[in-house]
Amino acid sequence: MQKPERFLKKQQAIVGISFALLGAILIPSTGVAASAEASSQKSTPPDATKATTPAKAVKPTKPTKPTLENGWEDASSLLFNGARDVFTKADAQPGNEERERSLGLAVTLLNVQPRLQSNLDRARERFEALANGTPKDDLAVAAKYFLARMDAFYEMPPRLENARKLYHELIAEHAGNLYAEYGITQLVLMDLYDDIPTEERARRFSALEELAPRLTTQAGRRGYHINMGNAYLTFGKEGEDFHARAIRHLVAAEAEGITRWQVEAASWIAIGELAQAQGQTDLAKTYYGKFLEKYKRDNRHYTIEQRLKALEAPAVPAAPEDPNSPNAPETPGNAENATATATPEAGTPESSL
Amino acid sequence: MREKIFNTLGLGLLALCFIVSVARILLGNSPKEQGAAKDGAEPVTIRFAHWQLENGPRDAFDRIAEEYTKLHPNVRVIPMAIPERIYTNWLVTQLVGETAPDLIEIGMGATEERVARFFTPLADLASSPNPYNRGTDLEGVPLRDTFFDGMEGGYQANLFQYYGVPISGFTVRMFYNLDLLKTVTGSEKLPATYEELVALCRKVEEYNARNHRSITPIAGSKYNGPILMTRLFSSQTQTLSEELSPLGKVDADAVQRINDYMEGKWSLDSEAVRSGFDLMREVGQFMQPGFFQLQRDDATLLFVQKRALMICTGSWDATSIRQQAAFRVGVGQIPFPAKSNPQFGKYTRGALSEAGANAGLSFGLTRHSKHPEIARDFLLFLASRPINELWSKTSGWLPAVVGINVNPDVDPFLPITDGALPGFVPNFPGMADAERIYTNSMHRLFDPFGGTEAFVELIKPNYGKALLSDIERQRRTVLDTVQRSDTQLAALAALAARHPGEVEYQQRLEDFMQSAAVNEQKYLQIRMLIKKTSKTLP
Repeated sequence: MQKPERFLKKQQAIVGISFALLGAILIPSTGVAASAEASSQKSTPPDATKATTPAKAVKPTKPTKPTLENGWEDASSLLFNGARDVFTKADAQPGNEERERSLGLAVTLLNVQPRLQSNLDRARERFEALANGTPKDDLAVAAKYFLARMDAFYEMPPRLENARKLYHELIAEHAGNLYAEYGITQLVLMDLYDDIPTEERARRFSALEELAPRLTTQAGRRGYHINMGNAYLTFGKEGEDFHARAIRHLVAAEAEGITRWQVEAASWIAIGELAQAQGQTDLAKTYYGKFLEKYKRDNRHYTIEQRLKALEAPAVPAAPEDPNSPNAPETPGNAENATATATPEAGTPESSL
Repeated sequence: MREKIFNTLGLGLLALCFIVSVARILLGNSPKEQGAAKDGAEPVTIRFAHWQLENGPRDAFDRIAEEYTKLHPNVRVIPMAIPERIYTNWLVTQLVGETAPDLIEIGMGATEERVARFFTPLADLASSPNPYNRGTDLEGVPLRDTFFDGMEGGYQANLFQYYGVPISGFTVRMFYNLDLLKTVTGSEKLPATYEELVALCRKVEEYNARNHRSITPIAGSKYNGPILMTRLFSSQTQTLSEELSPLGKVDADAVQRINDYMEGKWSLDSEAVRSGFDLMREVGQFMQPGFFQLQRDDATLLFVQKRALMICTGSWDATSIRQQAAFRVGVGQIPFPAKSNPQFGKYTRGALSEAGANAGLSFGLTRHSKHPEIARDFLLFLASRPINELWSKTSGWLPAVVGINVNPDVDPFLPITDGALPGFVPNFPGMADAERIYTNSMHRLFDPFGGTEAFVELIKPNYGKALLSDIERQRRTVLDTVQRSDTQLAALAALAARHPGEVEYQQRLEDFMQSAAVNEQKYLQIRMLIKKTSKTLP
């Protein structure tokens, strides 16, 4: 009696498993569904107001031979190894196309992973060949610019003198070229953000001021003024008129049209604060107002709003300073900082000054 | 006889299984099963992966997937919920093995390098109107301008590119057991200030003593504790932060603060910093003993089991808590010290602004997606106002798209936009070594025999060195970004030159040049700081 019962149980189990298997097969599984995806599809932008069906997809048809444009697209998307392969294989006519291919290969070699000295050496060779060869066209200028970049950011230790010389040569010989002008905006950063004595920085500021007339493109002038303005702001305590100069440069940058919102918002706040500290209340109000109008969702909004309100409030006689006041600056003797910490409760920023 | 019947039935079923399996493999999934459109469009399956296992989001994703299929009957959308614990490993395996789903939530494990290598840039998507917003006042508005954060939640700053489309906002709040609150205090009034919070905690202690109960005032864990404490701490460094900020920069970054530390402008002995630690210690006393050793789930359990009156956590936990709690849940803003507070009012500027918070839960399109165009279309659908509203209402999470009316349950989580700027915390975000010595010594702050003095004395000898090592790491990271930007510049300039009449190419180049300069300035400032500090530090 025992044996058949055990047998029966086994058979019931087999039947159960079989049903389970059948169920599992009949219920559409994602794995099986995936196998049906062999033919790619592509949709046209659908209309939100009515049900539409994506049109037949066409798998992107890759050209048999990659083009230089493919290489640049890859490089712009940080796919450096892919871009290197494309530039290596791309068809290019002798002449300018071949030189562009060489430039593309060289710039991608700068960032191909793993980053090897041999790649950097190969990149330098190509840049030198392009920069020193003929014609002296935009590709040659670009190559020279990247030689400066290699000296500043790829050599260990950096060869800043070399980079400086190349940046100056570029602007002297190729004003109006994108790379030559962008090089100047980078020269500003390289020269000023350095651990040097105050007098040396002041000398460098003066030298850099003289470069302004050489910039002829909107992008070049904008970059130059933003960097100069921010540098005067950063090293504001090193020169009496640095804050006034910072305002001038940042306003000039704005006139050229700042497109990146973070840069614009930071510039407007900086102009507002500097102007407020300089006693240029109308200018401060203008820039605070512009910031408040455009950047409503910025976490600095409330702080700037309070400052603008304080500026617009009628001046009140300054109360005797209470050392226990919550708004009393912790660091003594810094009038600028006192301005920055002023709140409506503490009186207007002017009264704090 | 019975045996025979079972044997035959079993074998028959197995044979049937085999035949059906072979048929399915040979024929593929039938259009009917795949939900093919009547017009004959071929069936497509889109998958999107995320780690939001909390209650709410999964239902919402299912609903949205259904809605999309209603609109596009040939497209089947499958949400994939991957547990947080394995998300990074899963992500890397899928990306490297080229088996990743079409869309993936970017965040955990998605380093910049992985994002650049495995995800598709979405700049063109960001600058074009979302067709699914047709008929709303967002019709014709570029996608990025339809988000409350300008789509910054999907922007990779160091890659100068949009790689994700965010769908939710997040804030942090105090959650209260309203029934317990009424039992303890006789009222359901939530504390509005830190002083009221402390008074409430003391009432809980008195209630415990009177009734022989052991209700914890605030449920803590190594997850929930810091959420509350970093915010309270940064209320104490608001004034100091303002004073330290150079003119023209109201919100200096961590590098500037570390520079200030190295220049001796603030230290762990600064009054405001000490006050921040005192505040942390005080609030820590109202959490369960040893809370820093406990996990997030421990704190949540304590709260939903009515053994704690309050818990501080994010809007992302709201739906889970509400579903698990057998009591009425109240939600309030974090109560900050009032300026009149004799001990903690001196350094504060008031409640912290949440206006600058970016949207999150950002989905990126993988490069190996078999159906990139449809996946992009689904992203647009997900980010449209009607669907983001559906998302918020179903999940109980905040929306990311502007102009959405939220449920009353979600209302308390709307960001505070009229708050002051937060101060800084000594364990600067992203500074791993400083964070490590800070966290490893935290027990001394909450130890009944410890306190601020003991904690500071413990971390002080290594704090400066930790910051220096962090800043050196930061230097290498930013240098990498600067170097990458050289190749990008050449590429963007070449593309702009190849497409002279196309504004998009010119715009990308101009935006890039401005952002790249910001990074380069940051790199040079860090290098200058390291050079300067190496002269003064041993």
